[in-house]
Amino acid sequence: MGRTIYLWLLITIVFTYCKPKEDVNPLLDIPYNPTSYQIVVPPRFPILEIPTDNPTTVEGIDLGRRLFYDPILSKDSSMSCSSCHLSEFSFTDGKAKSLGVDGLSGKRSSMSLLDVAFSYKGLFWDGRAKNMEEQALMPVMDPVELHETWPNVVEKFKRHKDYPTLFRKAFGIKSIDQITEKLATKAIAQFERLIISSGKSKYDRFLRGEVLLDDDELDGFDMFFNNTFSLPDAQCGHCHNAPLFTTNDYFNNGLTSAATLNDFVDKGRGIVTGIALDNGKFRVPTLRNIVFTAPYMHDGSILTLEEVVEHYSRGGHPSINKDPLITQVVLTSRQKQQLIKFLHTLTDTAAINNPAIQNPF
Amino acid sequence: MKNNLIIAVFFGIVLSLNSFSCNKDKDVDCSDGKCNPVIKVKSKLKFDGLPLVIGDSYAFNDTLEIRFLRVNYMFSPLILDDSIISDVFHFDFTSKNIDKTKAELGTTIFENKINKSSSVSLSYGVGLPQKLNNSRPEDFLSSHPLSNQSLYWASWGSYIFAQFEGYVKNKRTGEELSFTYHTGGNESYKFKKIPFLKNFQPSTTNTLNINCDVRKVFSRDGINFDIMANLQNHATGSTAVSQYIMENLLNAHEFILE
Ligand code: HEC
Ligand code: HEC
Repeated sequence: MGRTIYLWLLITIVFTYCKPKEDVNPLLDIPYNPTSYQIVVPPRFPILEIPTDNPTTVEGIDLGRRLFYDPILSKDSSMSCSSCHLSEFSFTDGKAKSLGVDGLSGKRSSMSLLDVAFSYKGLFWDGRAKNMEEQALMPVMDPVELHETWPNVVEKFKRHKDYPTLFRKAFGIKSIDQITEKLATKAIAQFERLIISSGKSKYDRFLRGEVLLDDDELDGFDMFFNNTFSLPDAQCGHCHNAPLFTTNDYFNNGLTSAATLNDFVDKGRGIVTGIALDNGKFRVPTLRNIVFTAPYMHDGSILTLEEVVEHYSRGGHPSINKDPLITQVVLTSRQKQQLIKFLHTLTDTAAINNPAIQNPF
Repeated sequence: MKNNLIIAVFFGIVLSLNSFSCNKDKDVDCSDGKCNPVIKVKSKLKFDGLPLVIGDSYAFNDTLEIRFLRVNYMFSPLILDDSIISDVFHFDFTSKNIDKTKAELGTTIFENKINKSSSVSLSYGVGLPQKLNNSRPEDFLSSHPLSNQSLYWASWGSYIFAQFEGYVKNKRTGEELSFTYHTGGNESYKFKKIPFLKNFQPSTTNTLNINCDVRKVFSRDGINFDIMANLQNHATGSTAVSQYIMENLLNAHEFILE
């Protein structure tokens, strides 16, 4: 009997001690009830593959969108992802090479994020990130980008007036200690999957029979995809294949000359694979919204589409592993213009003006 | 008394275990395909019988040296008698045959149990049979070889069955020119059945080497293909070269069971 009394006493003490603690955790009062979100994929696009451990939700996208536009991710709160990925430039930055928080220049040009969700063969110009969740970790730590550490960023989230709530709503965290960089990058990836073609470019509408291409655009289209014998084969479609206008593979398109495989200024894909023949190869960028993403190429060395077409028409610069598809193509100046006119049909303003992906602040 | 009983039971167990293990060979349980042979399929690329290394030069004829920068093709299907081993393989040597050792070793493209102990015939095709060729990359998940956008050519309405690309160099003049051969279209698909009298070792791995000699892709009846006259064939409608390459590719294969 005496023992039982002591036991009850103990239980009561434990409970009265624990209870107030629960009461002061306001996170648990916020409902965790995420709404699943269906991303609209244009017809004839690849299957949108979403990692099973990161399903897209309204709450996840909301958090990811804020993180993408919030300078809290940088060392001195001066830059965010959106500083180098601006919607008006189809999520590039209009610079040859991007500048980080310390004013230091990176070695490469910012990449368009349009249709990044389909980059199943790796991300970045060299493919060093396996997937979007992994990629989003890197800019924060990069000394020529946001130059911060994740532990610092996570501390800033914990102290922030909104982020604990947003993490709770998106991922059901039970205390602020459960906020991690992994959840942050999951949210960013969810948001980035929304930066997707609308299917409303002139080219897409032409394919669906809703509009006609004019004669110049049509000739450009035929040369791009080598549809006819009567026009030169510009070879573009092999590497910039529809529907994404990239195969997402890695090629040396003759951008720089190199006497040996070790002479490329930027070895690109070769750094990642360790295969010498991959030196000087870069991932093919999408040509959708190409009018907004100048200057062009991984090093931003080509300023205009006219110069890009000149580059290909000359057959690029020599190197041992220059892709065999990059050879001199004899094009009249009219034909060069027609190719460029075709590239303009890939403009998709609806995609980048989508209100769901604009700055929420 | 109690102790004796324990000792007896103990010996009983030891004896019965012993008798099990001695009869192991006789009593192997082979039900449900437990002892089926494992087939490991390896693809190897050669040039004149030597391992073909991507980027290395080989003598094509007295004046020309050839080096390949991209070699890949569809192999569909692979059938032993009437058991389908695989619907489709995409043999891609470009990032595999990067040095002599790797080229010699070959690439394992399949390893699985098969439900047969012997075979009398082997059937295979190069390219894609019409049913598969009527699909498109967007019909497949990214883990499937046919999801690859690089391998589809919309204006043919076909997958690219084979890609042989590289450079030929004139040894006398030093001039180097690139070549690109892409094949495709239902009429380029080639299939054949050959005798393949083999017994497979049960419960163990049987390696089937599929060797392709690229010399044979670019020569027929002892006459080499005129590369300089046809540096490219992927223009629409150039079916003669496509047919030549695919017929040769079919016959350039040998199958060796180790
Ligand atoms: C200082 C400018 C800068 C900042 C800030 C920045 N990026 Fe980038 N981003 C780049 C550059 C440059 C590349 C290409 C780098 C390379 O290939 O090495 C790139 C590449 C990418 C890619 C790869 C796209 C593809 O198709 O492979 C993604 C995705 C991306 N950034 C997302 C982000 C996210 C998310 C953030 C914020 C966490 C961010 N970036 C911050 C400049 C920046
Ligand atoms: C052998 C494959 C290949 C072919 C053929 C090819 N490209 Fe490219 N293209 C690439 C690669 C790879 C890059 C990126 C190279 C780099 O940055 O080093 C690129 C980059 C570009 C860019 C710059 C994109 C950007 O956002 O920076 C444009 C524009 C372009 N190509 C247009 C064309 C056109 C037009 C044709 C046909 C005349 C063509 N390409 C043919 C592989 C190819």
